[in-house]
Amino acid sequence: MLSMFQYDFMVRALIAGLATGIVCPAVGVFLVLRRYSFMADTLAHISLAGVALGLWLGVASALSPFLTLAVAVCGALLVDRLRTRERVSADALLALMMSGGLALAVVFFGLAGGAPVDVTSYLFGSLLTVGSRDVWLILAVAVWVLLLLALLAKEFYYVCSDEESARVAGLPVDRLNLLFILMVAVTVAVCLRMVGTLLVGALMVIPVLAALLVGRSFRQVVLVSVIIGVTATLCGLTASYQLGIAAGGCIVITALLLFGALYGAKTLLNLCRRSRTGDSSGQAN
Amino acid sequence: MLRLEDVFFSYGKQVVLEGVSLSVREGDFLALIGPNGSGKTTLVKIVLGLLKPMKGKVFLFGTETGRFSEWYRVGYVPQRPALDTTFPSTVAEVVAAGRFGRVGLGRRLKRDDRQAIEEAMELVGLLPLHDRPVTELSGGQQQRAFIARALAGQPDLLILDEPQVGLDDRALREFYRLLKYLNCEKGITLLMVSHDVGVVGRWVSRVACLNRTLICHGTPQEVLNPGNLSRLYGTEVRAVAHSH
Repeated sequence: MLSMFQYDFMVRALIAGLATGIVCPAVGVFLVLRRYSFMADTLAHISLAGVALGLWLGVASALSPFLTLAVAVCGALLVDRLRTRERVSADALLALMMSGGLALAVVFFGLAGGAPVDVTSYLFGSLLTVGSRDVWLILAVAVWVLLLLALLAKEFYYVCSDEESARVAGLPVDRLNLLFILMVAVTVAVCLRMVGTLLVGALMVIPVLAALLVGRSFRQVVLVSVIIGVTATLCGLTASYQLGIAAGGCIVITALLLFGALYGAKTLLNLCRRSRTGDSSGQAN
Repeated sequence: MLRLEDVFFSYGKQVVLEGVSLSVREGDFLALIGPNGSGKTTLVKIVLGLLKPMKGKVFLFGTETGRFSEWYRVGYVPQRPALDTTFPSTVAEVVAAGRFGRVGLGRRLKRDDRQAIEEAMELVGLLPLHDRPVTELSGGQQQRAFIARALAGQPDLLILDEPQVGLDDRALREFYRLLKYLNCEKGITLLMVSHDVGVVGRWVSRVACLNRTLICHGTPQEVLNPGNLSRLYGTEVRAVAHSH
């Protein structure tokens, strides 16, 4: 297994994976609790349109991640505008933007024609597509997002738990919401290379759902989500290397297995507890 | 402390508030009562700056709400615990949020902030449960957690929107006792929205009756008489009788 460290691409993938595993669930906690779990998927599909646009326009490969970022940010701004100004309901809005993003991606890929690119690597993620420039970009975005989250953690928490009260307290709720959706957009756009469009949303959601099973406080949920995210990415990447299967699938399956294990453990614990209280009440009678 | 001047509000063509003028003075414990759909919650939202009145003015501590910036001086306890039943938060985390408006954007809580949060939990009797998830608390305890959240900001004016919903008799009595204590001992001015006419008169210092317009206001003895109450609820009662 240690042989994988001999390969530069694998070391790059592991570094990028570590950053992805931390930043995706950290952002995901707020998405899941606000019932915007599909936001990440939506922005991922919009980002894919950005990738395809880059191929069609023949943008140099060094610039194409930035084009993807720009398209993701535009998509996020549009989602936010529709959400706040037009009062479109959340699920309908995300469905609209997701299919729009995917349709544009398909059209742009089509227009790009015979471009020598493996579309599946963008859909399902790949270890080989993560170049050293990508690693730096992922690290830069991860640091920026995590710094903002740390700085504004209490504000994001308040808005996420009770938006109306946060507004009454004088917090700039609309601006915080906009900033947050931009953070999600850039996170999705850079993590896309590794986990893939179809699965980046899963890495934002599944670790959080698993953490919600065990966390008793908000702080615990954030911490456990990140631990699960990192474990899933690192184990998933190793499996991807060993089995030669796309990275995204391996990472998400690992996250699902962790979720299943925690769910099983919790159910078992509850059963034990119930039978124990049943016993003691039986004795009391 | 709070003054409404000829406030008018409508949702589309439906007029919800019409020419409402009301003032809450320092030290008041005012109950705003009225039937469902009488515009009570809308009035609270206007006072809190969540809605803008279409006509008329609202002053908080002498400043018009549009230009008011010291929102931490106003504590707010929402209608039903606004927290989702699955939201992971301990009592301490929920209560701490009430301090955020005072602390400022991006700043950390300091020692006196933590002290205020602790005092707020102590005041409502939840300090021993500070690390419990809010979802594990009873209805009455949850309500107190949200009052503690509002108190953590050390407000001068506390606004509660139908806080009695879902409380049993004992919890309700404890709840009113707490409010009375906050009003008399801590000097916090209270504005409470309620549809409970029966009990409220025993605890508050003033009552205002709202049903689109302000029907009457004064001390409970002056206001809560059969004549005023039938003016307030009469049409609604008859409407219900007709529908059966």
